[in-house]
Amino acid sequence: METLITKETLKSKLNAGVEPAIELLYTNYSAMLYGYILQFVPEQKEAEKVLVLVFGTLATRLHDAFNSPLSIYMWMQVEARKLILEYKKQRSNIVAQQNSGYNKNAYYLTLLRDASSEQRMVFSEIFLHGRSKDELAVQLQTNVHDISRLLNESLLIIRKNLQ
Amino acid sequence: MTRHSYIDDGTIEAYVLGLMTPVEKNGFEQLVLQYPELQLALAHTQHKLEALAANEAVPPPTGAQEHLYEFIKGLPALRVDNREVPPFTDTKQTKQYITAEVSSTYIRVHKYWRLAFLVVFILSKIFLGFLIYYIIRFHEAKAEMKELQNHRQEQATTPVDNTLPK
Repeated sequence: METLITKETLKSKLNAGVEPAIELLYTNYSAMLYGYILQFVPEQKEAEKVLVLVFGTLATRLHDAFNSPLSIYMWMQVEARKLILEYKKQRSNIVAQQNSGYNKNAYYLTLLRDASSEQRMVFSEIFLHGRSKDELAVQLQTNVHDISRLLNESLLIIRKNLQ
Repeated sequence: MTRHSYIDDGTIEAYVLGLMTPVEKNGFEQLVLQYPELQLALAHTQHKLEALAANEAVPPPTGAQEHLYEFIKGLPALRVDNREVPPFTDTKQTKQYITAEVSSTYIRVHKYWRLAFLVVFILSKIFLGFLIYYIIRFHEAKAEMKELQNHRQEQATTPVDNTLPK
């Protein structure tokens, strides 16, 4: 397992400059983040571009990590998801073609192996494709409350399977 | 809803997966600051997700790190906020711009330099052509002069026939 970086370690690296801090993060977290990105963008060339975008963008915002209750890696992962979804939105034509079909890299969905197809679909659409609850409610001809319930159920299944 | 229900109802998972709205996120972060048991549960969930990410890690392509450094060098300014005393900013300003350290042996220049280089290159070739042309002409002229001198010397040494035709 990669070495987890504490906020103190990152602060001391950042005092030496942004490049040493990014090098430390890249050495320890690039493989974890690349695996995470492949869930959203399965095509490797595109995923590589997204990885560079994520590290490059977060290089300018590392101070935000110190104010977050999240660990450095989880903060990066949460921020990475926002950037990935934005990237997918901007390049919707290309990424949509590549995303069609089953994505074997989507390991978060393996945490939902005992979930219903509805629960899995709601989680997948919201988490991996960035759809809003309102959009999904319209598409599935139901209400937002039902979507929230299904999402919450899927999160509880993830919680159970993480234990 | 109590803080205990936050621990069990999937709220922590929604937070660490980035599925909360900004309002929900801010509210949850306030609670985390207040309740140590929520901090503990959050740390536990994060640890599990970090272990999962490490387990599913995929080494990125070899060129990615190089692309990243090129990307970073292209950024106009990199900010850090954690300097205790910003040396070149006023006391109200908390942010400062720092110069990124460059370890690469390559330099990046504006694309107009390419045109300038091309013009200098073409001009240098033209001048070189002229130089070669004039050197050849100079040598030809020198040879011609030598030939003339020889001719005159020959004429000077040849005895003149002073007899007039009858």
